[in-house]
Amino acid sequence: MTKFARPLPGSLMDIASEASLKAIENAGAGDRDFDAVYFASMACGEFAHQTAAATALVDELALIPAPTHRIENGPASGASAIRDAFFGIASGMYDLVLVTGAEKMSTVPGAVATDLISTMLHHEAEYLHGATLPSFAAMLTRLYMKRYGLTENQLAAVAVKNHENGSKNPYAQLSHKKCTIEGVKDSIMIADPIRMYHCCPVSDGGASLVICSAEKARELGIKKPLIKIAGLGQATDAHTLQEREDPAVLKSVQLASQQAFKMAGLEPKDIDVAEVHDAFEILEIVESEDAGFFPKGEGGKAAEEGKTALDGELPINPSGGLKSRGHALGATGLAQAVELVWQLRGEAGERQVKDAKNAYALNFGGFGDNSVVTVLRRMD
Amino acid sequence: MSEEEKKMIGFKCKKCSRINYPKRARCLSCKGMEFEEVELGKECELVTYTQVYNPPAGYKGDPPLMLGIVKFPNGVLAMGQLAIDHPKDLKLGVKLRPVWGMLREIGGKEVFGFKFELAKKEQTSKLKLGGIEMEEYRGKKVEMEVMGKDVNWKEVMKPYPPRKIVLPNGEEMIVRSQTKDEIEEVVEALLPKTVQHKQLFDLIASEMVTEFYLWREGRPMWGCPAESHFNLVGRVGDEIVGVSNGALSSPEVGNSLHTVAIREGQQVGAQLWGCKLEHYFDVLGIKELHAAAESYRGGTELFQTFGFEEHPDKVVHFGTSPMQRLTKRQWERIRPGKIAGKRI
Repeated sequence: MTKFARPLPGSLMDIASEASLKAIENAGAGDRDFDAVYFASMACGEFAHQTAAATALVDELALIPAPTHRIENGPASGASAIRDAFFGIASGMYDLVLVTGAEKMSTVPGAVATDLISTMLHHEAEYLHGATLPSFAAMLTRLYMKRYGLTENQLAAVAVKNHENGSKNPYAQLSHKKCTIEGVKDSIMIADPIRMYHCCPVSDGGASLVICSAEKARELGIKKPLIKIAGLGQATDAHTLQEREDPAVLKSVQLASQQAFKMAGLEPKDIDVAEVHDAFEILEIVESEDAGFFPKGEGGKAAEEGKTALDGELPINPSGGLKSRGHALGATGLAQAVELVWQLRGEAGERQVKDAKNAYALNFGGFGDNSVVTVLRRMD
Repeated sequence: MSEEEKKMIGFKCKKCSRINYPKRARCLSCKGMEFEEVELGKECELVTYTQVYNPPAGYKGDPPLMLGIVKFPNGVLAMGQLAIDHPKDLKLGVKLRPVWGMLREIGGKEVFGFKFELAKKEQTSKLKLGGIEMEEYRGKKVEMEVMGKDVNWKEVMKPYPPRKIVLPNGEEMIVRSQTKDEIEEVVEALLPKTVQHKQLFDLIASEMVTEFYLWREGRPMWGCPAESHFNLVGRVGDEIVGVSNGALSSPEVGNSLHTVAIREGQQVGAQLWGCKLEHYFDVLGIKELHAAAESYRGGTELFQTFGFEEHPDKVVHFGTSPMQRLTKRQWERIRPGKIAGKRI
């Protein structure tokens, strides 16, 4: 992957090709043709004024005539691309595919970025009213605080932990910034009660994976431990927040997680490390419960007690998460998977989680209405 | 149908009776495709809400953008803007009613829809300025007293009650008023910024240095008497991390000068801005603040997110952005999101 930054020098294609070439090199596939290329980007047309970007990427990488198309599933475009690549291989159609995600968001002013991202909300019932993603995080926080008694310190603890992890990740956008509980609580207000240090930044970045069949992996002669896509899950929920069974519960996370665990033959307690979609720190708390890692209402307490820290019982977001690593929309699902591959191979340096064998990733395609879960496992 | 008669309509499924709002092609519960239009209700209550200080491009109202989810007596939930003037009226459970109005612009076109206002509207306190209600006053040409010559400035000017704000990295910044004795120390801290040639730091810091010396020499500046000049200093320990100065042209009108974050990347500038507005409106008691920005970012983003309006008849020095005005009413709307930390 590339470093995430705002701005990251270069064009969308520069970012996508840098990430792709690193992955190809890492897989020892520099001289290979690929059966297909999947390109994930949520809004390259809007931010970078580039459409048919998948074709441009194949051309840039000299992978012609590989078939390619862009996958767009909001901010879960990356995880959806991994999922589609898996199906391509599982169907027997392909043996070796490249999956790359990239976004260049720094091209527009903040208020325009906020507006473009808001277009993922229900058009008539939410977007036209001026709803933004931070406003949804704020309304969820208020509901959740009232019901479960989440404290400001617990909410801030998630940001402090993610910045601490991010400071150990050279790819993280905010690797140079750590924060404290009191500092988070005094940071400037974005959407009451959501403050700046409860929100992920706007990012440029790219990330990429090579995915292949077990047979192809042997043929490539890869010396590193192989990582298997052991489980996949995806579920949707009512587009409008208020029409869900319970707006304070992320049912799509529950369903997607259950599917992925079932496919992998694992339970939440078997997971050694997780990357979740903390576009806002409240989400990490609610997701960690609905994924099954903590009982409902106890995610905040778990974070405050250090259970989700690097040395805790379940380290969450060792990369720094969306909060510190950054959130380059279409690249995020791939950046999560890249981090987990490093963790499972024991290549994560200072932020290495001890003896990680099973890993969980959750990527959001909207505000909790489209959740994509990937479970990865180290093959021994 | 007149706008007053517009009703908020839900779509009741003829098969399972679920009231869908908004309408879908098929009922979310049972996939039924036949609906009966029903009025959602004239009154609803607030279930959750937020004040958005960074509204999306296209929102033309005063910040913060207030949004909420409301619940109608028939159980239907809907999200929408809250046409509520004063933050004190934003409470879970408060009774609201739907009202038709402009929501925002998209692609230059105005979009209309239902918002929610207080069911008992008279609760909203109206602000008065010189006996004129703000609603009438806004946009009206008003003669400003420029020099404040007959004013007893010693009575008007008060020190800023110090405030402690924890920066994101955990360091404590203390913000307080600067005395004339500290001018040289403040100038010393500002000097590196006068040669930082990005985002107009050089220009703004140099102007501030000039203003400090004008203050020291007891000279008026930008139409404001020297006695009305003040400066807030933010310190971490002994280190000066930011400064923000201002002046008044009359006891009712402030003239915001400059803010410079000497320490960058820790929200020092934004926090000092909040403190300065608090000083102007809550400590000195002004009714409106005039300001213009030197930097592009200040002129475009900052003024929008605070809800400044363009001042029709005031000239700006150095040909920067048009003069902007922030009213006390608007300050009271944004205050909850702009002041952090604690009094010490």
